[in-house]
Order: sequence, then structure tokens, then C-alpha cells
Amino acid sequence: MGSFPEGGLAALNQDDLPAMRRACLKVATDAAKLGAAVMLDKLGADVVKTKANARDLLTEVDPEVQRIIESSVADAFPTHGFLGEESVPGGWEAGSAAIARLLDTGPDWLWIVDPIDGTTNFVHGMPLSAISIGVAYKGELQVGVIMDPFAGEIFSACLGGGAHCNFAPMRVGEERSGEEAVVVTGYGATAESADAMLKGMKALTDLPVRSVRMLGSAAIMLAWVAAGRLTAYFECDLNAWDTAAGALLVREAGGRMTDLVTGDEYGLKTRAIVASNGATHDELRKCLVDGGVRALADYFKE
Amino acid sequence: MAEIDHAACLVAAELAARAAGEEIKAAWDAERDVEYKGTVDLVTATDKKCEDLIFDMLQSKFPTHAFVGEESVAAADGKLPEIGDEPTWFVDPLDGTTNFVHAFPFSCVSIGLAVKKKPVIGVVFNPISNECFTAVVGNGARLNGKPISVSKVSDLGKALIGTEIGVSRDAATVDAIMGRVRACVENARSLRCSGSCAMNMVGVAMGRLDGFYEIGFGGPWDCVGAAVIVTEAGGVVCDPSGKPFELTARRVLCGNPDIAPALTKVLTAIPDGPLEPQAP
Repeated sequence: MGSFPEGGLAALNQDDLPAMRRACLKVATDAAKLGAAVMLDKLGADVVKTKANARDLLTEVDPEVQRIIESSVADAFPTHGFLGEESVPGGWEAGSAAIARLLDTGPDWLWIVDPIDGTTNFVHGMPLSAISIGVAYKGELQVGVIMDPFAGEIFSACLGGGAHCNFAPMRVGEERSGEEAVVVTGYGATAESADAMLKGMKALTDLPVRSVRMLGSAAIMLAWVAAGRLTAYFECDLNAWDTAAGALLVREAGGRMTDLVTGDEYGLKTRAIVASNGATHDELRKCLVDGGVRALADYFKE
Repeated sequence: MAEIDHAACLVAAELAARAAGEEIKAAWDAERDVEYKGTVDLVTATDKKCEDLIFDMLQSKFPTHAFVGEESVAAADGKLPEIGDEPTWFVDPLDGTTNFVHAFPFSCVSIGLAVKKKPVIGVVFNPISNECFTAVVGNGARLNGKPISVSKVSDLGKALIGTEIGVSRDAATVDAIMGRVRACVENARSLRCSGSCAMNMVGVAMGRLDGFYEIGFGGPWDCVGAAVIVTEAGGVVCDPSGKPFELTARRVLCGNPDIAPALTKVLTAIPDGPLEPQAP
């Protein structure tokens, strides 16, 4: 990990990217471990409130984990920006506006955090949820950490440094075609996103892919694409806190992540995504687009 | 017919499941030796080895019992033997084979015993998460020795449902599968597909899921053991049509006592595909 300067992490030259990446990875990893301990302690905590959609559950532990991570970041890097899922109202418009505002006018360094990704699983005691922490510099991802407390797995990546699972190098899977692919998708909680999900599942089943799965946590699904356990993942509308850490993991593990509709490389404002092992990317994205899958935002443009 | 010693059967089944689980665990990190079985289904060397191991262990204890395994049925061109009233063991040495091949940690050993075509003993063991689910009819269900029970979620709108998108690929079957998924989208909180019928069913037994259904899975070895575990955890196991569960139908629905009938009601509005296994 190397040593850090006398004045603490805040004394680092903020534009020395290799040193900053090492420092951010350490802070993110330590914060994720603290958050994971709280999640394990509170598994199955009662739901205390609901957001824009009744399906979008929050538990008392969600804000608590965010507070832990936010204060770790503030202690280490008081000048850094912080975007946490808990601080933004539900719905795609609020989510888009929040990341756009920070990228346009916020500090150079931005932490993008989902304290518990896969909240419905968490509430039901289904052990598939994770802490997702992405760190960007001037809009470009530098560090990603996804912590799965239930499997005891920590997935991490630094830009240019490869991807790791429990600090051992990991690679995407070697599937060469859609026929060999295990593809996952997210669950459409609104009529429009359900339409996109169903069209995508149908198109993939017709191709056919080997199998279609739904696991209920974007962070877990992205980490598992990066680890080669899944071939590809698509979803028509996600927020930056769902995808930032996972996008870097997938890329650093040798995979690809693009806009589902346009095929443009993923950026923090991208909401409809395909992430894959790379070899199957174009075939699967074309299958989805030809099958009529659209970005959620496109449903509201007519 | 002699009385069945349920306790002895459970001990033998759990020992066999754990022995197979050790083989699976050993193969987990080793290089994977995969051969194709059809275009989408997979089988591994571990699968065959584990079925032989389980059969040997159980046959030596219960030489008069009948045995049906996923691998031996596949070797007989998929033809299921006649199931009689005698004690019959149903064994899936590795349920969730695609998951196993992809190192996706939802695979398990599934062992069930039926007498007079009724499931009476079940063991489902996931060697990766080291979770061993067991049940004997009339004696409750357990996870690693501790009693478990189904969830208390009573409203389908708040229920987490599991299913699988099967490997059948004809258009009418795909339409039926998608119709059922849509029905869940419209009526339940959320849907999960994780690739193992037995793991989904024991997920219902311990309340991770509130309900599960699947039409057209591999065979009775996927669900006989788990059916006992769900029932003994206080859940309901039936046919997705709402009729009684039938061992060989390749159709199952389960859930807590509120969710199972509510889910049945929603799913029966969707016609089955003509090539899907039909309701008994």
C-alpha cells in the first residue's frame, strides 16, 4: 500500500493520480469493511420508509452505512465531493440531475456511493447485496470497490491496475458467443422498465443465450461479470452509484461496458448499460436493441 | 412392505450429500472439464462422479430401495423409469450445473426419498456456502441443524418470488414463460432467477424467497427433497395450477401459506405452452 505523507491523506498532491488512487483505494476498502460489519449485524432489519416507488425499499441500515462511508471520506479528503444514493430522491430524473450537477460544477474528485445495493434482497434476508464505492477524477473513474459482506468478498480495481477479488487478480469469462453466455438483468420496478426487461429477456431467450438470470443487485452482477461468473448484464436505467464501481471493475478485468442503446463507452451519466466479457458484447447488445429494448428515459421522450 | 426408518434414511442421505459436496468443493477451483449435453444444458465429470458416489452409499444401506438419478436418466435417453410405491430415492448430484460451470456459487446436491410417491425425506446441500438443509416428514425442517420456517409476508405485492427461465426454446414456450414473468412483475414486489430449482425451493423454506414456481425443469430429482423441506418449514408445495404436487410432472410451485395460493391465482391466468409439461 506504500506510506502516506505526514499531514495525512489530505496533504497528498491531489493531481498525483497514482498516489491518489492508492490512497483512495485504501480509504474505500477500509470504509467498505466498516459498512459490511453493520450490514452483517443488521441483516433483515425492518423497513422504515419507502421512496418514490413502493418497491424501492430503504432500511435503517442504508443511511447508517452511507454515514460511515461519507465520514471516512470527509476525514481523509475534506475537499472531495460525495454523491450517495441515500441523499437523492427516487426516480430517474432526480438521479440524472444529481450526477450532472456534480460533474459540471463539483470538485475534481468525486466519490459515488451506494451504501446498500440490492436493498430488497437485504430486507428479505437474501444474501445478495453489496456496498458500491466508485471514485472519479474530473469525471474519469479511478477506483472501484464492491464489498459483498455475505460471501466475504471484496472486489476492487484501480485505473490501469487490473481488477481483484479478495486482492487476487480476476478476469472476465471466456465465453465467445451468445450461445455460451449467461446473461443477467435487473428487475423492472415500473411499467416502462418492466417492458424493457421483458423485451430483453425475450430477445435473449430467442437468440438463444445459455441462460438468463436476475439477481437483484447491480453491484453484485457487475462484480460477477468482472469475475467471470456471469457473461453479461444489461439494464435500461441505473444511477451512477449503481454502476460507477462496477464499470471500472469490468473494464479492468478485461471486459466492456457501454451504453445499451448507442454503444458509446460508459460514462458516469450513462443510465442504460450493457456490461460484458467483451467477446460477446456486440452480439448481445445488437440482440437487445433489435429486440426493442430502450433506455428508460426514451419512454418519456415521445 | 417394511417400515421405513426415517432417521436412518436422513443420516445416510446427509452423509451422501456431504461426501458428494466434498467432491464438488474440490472441483470448484480446479480446472473445469466440460462436455455439452444438448445446446444449452451442461454436464461435468463431477456430476457423474457424484451420482455414482451417492448411489453407492445409499444402495449399500438400502439395497431394496429404488434409485432415480439425473445422470442415469440422461444416460437412458432421458426416459424416466416407472415410479412405484416402493421407497424411491431421487438424486441430483449437482443441481445448477450451468452455475457450477460458470463458478457462480448457487449449486447444490439434492437428495429426496419418496414412499408411495409421497416425498418423506429431503437433503439439499450447497457445499460452496456450506448450507445443509434437511427435513423428515412430520419432524420440521433445518438449516445446518437449526429449525427454519417460511416467511410471514402475506401480501403478494410485498413478496419476493423466484423462478427460472427454462432452456426450452420453442416460441409458444417462450411466450408462456414471459407471460408468467409479466404476471409476477404486475403483482409481486420483485423476481429473482438464480439457476437452481432446489436452491430456490430451500430459499422459500427459510424465507429468503416468499414463493417460487417453475414449469419444465429437469425431473423429480430437482424437487423431491426440497419439497419435504418446504412443507416441513410450514410452506405449501403444489402444482402451479393449484392442483396437488405430482412427483413426475416437472412442475412445481411453493410458498408460504398466504403467497402460494395468491401466486397460483395469478399464474393460472397465463395459459401453459403446448410443449410445456402439462398439469396433472
